[in-house]
Amino acid sequence: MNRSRWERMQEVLQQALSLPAEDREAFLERECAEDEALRSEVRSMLDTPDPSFLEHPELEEAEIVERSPDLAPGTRVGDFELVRVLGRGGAGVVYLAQQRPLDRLVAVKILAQGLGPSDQRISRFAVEAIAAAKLRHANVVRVLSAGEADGCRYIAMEFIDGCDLDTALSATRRREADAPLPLFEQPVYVTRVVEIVRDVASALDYAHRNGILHRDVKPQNILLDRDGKPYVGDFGLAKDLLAETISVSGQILGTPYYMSPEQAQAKSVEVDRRSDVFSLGAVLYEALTLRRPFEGDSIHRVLASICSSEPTSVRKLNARVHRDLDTICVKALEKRRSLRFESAGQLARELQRFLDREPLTIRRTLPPVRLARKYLQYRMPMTSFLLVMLTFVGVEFTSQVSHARNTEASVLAVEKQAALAKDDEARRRVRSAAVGLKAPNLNADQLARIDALLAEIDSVAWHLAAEGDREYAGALTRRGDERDEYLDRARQLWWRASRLAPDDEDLRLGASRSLLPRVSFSSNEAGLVVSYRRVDRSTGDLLPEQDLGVTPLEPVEMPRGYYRLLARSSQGGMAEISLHVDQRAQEYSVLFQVRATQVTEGMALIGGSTCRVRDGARRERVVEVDPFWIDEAEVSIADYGEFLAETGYPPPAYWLRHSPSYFKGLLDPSAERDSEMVALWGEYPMSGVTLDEARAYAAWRGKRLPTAAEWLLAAGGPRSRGLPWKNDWHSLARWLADKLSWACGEDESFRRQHAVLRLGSTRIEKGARRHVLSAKSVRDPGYVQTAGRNGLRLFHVLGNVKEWTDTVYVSQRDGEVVPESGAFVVLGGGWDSPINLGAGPYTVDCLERKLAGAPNFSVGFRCAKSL
Amino acid sequence: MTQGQSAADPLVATLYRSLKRIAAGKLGPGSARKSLQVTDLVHEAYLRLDWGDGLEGELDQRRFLAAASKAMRSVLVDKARARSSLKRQQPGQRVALDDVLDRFSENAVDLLALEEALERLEDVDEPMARAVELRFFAGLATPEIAEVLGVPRRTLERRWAATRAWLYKQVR
Repeated sequence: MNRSRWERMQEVLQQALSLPAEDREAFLERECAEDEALRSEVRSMLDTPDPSFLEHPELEEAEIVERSPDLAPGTRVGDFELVRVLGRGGAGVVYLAQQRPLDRLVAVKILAQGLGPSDQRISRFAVEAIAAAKLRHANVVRVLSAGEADGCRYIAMEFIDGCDLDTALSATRRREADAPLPLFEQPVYVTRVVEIVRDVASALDYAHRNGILHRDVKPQNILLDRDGKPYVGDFGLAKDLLAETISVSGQILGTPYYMSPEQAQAKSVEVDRRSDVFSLGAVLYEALTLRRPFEGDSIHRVLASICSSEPTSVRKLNARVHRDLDTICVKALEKRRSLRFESAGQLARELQRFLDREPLTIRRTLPPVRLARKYLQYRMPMTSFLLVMLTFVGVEFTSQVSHARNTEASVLAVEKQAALAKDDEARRRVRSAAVGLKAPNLNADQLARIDALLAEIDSVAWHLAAEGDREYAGALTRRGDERDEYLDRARQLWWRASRLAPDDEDLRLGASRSLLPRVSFSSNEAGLVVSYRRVDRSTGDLLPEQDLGVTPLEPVEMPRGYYRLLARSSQGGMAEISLHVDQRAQEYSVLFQVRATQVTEGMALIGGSTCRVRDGARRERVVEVDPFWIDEAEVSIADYGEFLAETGYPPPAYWLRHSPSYFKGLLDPSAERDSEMVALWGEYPMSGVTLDEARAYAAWRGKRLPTAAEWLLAAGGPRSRGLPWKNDWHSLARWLADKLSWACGEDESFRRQHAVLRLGSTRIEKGARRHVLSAKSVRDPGYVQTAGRNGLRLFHVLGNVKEWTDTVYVSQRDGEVVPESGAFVVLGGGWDSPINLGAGPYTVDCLERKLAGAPNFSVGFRCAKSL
Repeated sequence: MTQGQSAADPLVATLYRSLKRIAAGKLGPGSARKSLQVTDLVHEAYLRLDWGDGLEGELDQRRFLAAASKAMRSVLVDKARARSSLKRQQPGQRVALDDVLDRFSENAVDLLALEEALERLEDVDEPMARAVELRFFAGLATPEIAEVLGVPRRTLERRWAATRAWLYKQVR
């Protein structure tokens, strides 16, 4: 049957079915006069199908497979004499039992029997015992012993005489007179519930800090003793973070109503302490409202609801709940873990703050609508403000203002500066200066002018905030990479906005939603002036420098992106660090090590200039490059070995794994060093390092990696993209021949064995693949040698190894130029570079894309340094 | 069946019982008991859910239901296949989910025949194949199915009647 036949049949059948049974035959006669086959087919389908056909079956209670019978009272299991059943958990039945020699009451959990042996369940049982036995906390049910006796595996636990929170809540729902909790309507009810959840939160926090996740936080697992003190029990699904994981990835562990979105999506690899926070948030919500936050008439829907719907506000369901508690619930139940409380401990502390009637330290998540509305109220003439694009001299300006004696001069200075402010940072400074100026000695006119200025800056802030909201809302409907992209833009807009109007509460609250990663700084000396340059995501260019402050510095929130951080000492020392802030972590730490003396030995000074740069999106741009130092030669194996020996930095894993055994001793500080090997190979270029390893080396040297523009400028000069031979491949052939004899001139056997370079073929032959040219003994005729400019001599631009740069690789995707995640630009030629003489010039800007974490023996690096 | 699937069986049994307890007494009024009977099935289906890529947090309910019902179908059909081959070898042997399977089979006449017909239906009318999944395997009502599929309710009702009649003939 094909589609058109199907549609035709549908049509006839639909109409026939809509007719009374007796009219159908006549209709078919008429409709299918030409098509006897269709008529008989449709006719055969007109018999009324069984009404239950294709109805979803309703399944009854009776159909459930019965569990194994409970053990009778009086049964002996080891030391324990069972008294009665206390409850049933996922992995077994819990009995009240008398422990004979000690004559005390304990709770004994016995692994369910009768389901046939399952290694997995047994090992989970064992893990539970081991995990829980480590925990000693006033609010955790203590595990007394575990073992196997009389054919049963058991765990003996402290017996909590009371009931679980689920039972207590049910009693409250039914308004039972002797319910364990106060009456729902009484104000003390909320306090009581918060105390319970706070204690549970601190118990979970304790477990988490001991590497144990509960994974199944729910009211049934929170026991209340006669005094109402809560105990967290049944680490039945606890997974010891340190022990080998036993759960097969993708299994759903836990009770659906309290599952976190990441658990509901069966992403067990991603479950972490914040998943327990979510579940506890669901418990708090239920206790405060007597309703579960996520309901559904089937498990599908409960889970779908957990993943996709926002629970009704707690305050709507129970008006007695304070706004702060609502805030806490919302934060605990955030779908994205990064927005939740970062730990159960934080949740416990906020709950305690609530009990102490102190203001919370977390911020309320605002709906985007509210902010958009506020923005509309603020709509003011900002175009003029945005259009002014002139140079800014911020630091001088601030001092200018503070020193001005004449207030009118100050006001004028601020206004002038506002007109000149071309970027956010400048505006921020204008704003703080203007706020600082609002002193009593200003006259009404001056005050009005200052207010107008502030309003203008604030309106820019609100404009940014509204844009951020739009991005944020847009991001929610997107997926994966694309969403990150949008969220990131939203974050940056929020960040900029909150910096423009730092004392605006609503902006601050709104920005808190984006929860930027925090970067903390440490340094080998105090008093360093720290600044940063952001890397433009679409070009990889460095944006203008912005101040951060003087060490010791408080941690700074920074939006995702690539940065170059700079620290300068008053003695002229400087440290530069490349930092990639992304979503993989919330905290970053940066260590500045400023060296007293400038190390510029073996470096060439390149004057500032413009440079033509081509990127992965095949755009050619002219980039302004500030003057810089760059290593004349690539970093050698001996250099890198020195770094490892001095710092204890781990040797490159890739190197150790993939290089020949006789090489490993060169770098592994723990291995005995063969001086002959070092002499022979130490001067060859270091390769097989990740970008981070290269950066670590550079930082140790007080240097950094060059940007692509810097590298190209140093290698090719401002005007020429190529080497001196330009398009003349005969010259290239001569040069290659020279290179070969340089490389092997003194070692004829080596040349015969390995370095057979066949002109006209494309690569240096097998066997010479590692390092044909030594780093220091052979010098490429860099353009400078012939051009002679600056007296600059850069070695191995084309030879040896290709080189890492600290420039993000951007490429074109769906018409948009975007940075590729984790990919960086590699430049120059290396031993494995295909040199296709027929295809035209071999130039230095043969840009390649390499992933920062994927080292290669054909990629090495050299360092650079700002002035 | 995949390896992960077989490893999950005891877990499913465990969860089944704990969920049964919820179904038996712990749900408040107004909750639908009947759906919780199929927890076992639901959990197996879960293990097969195709979540697509890069999901964290937000999830489209419509996509979720569509994926879930598809997974249900795949579990039940696999179980039915396993049962039919087991029955040939060891008559009288019960398999996991047998009771649930019985109930589904009653309403489908023959699950394996239905699967075969559904595969043919997918070729000519993908949306209606989805509709069968949503209705029969996931138990959604017509208005919800219309919403998931994004088709007008009346259209769906008419096409459903015809499709059902066609399928009935295929499996009988």
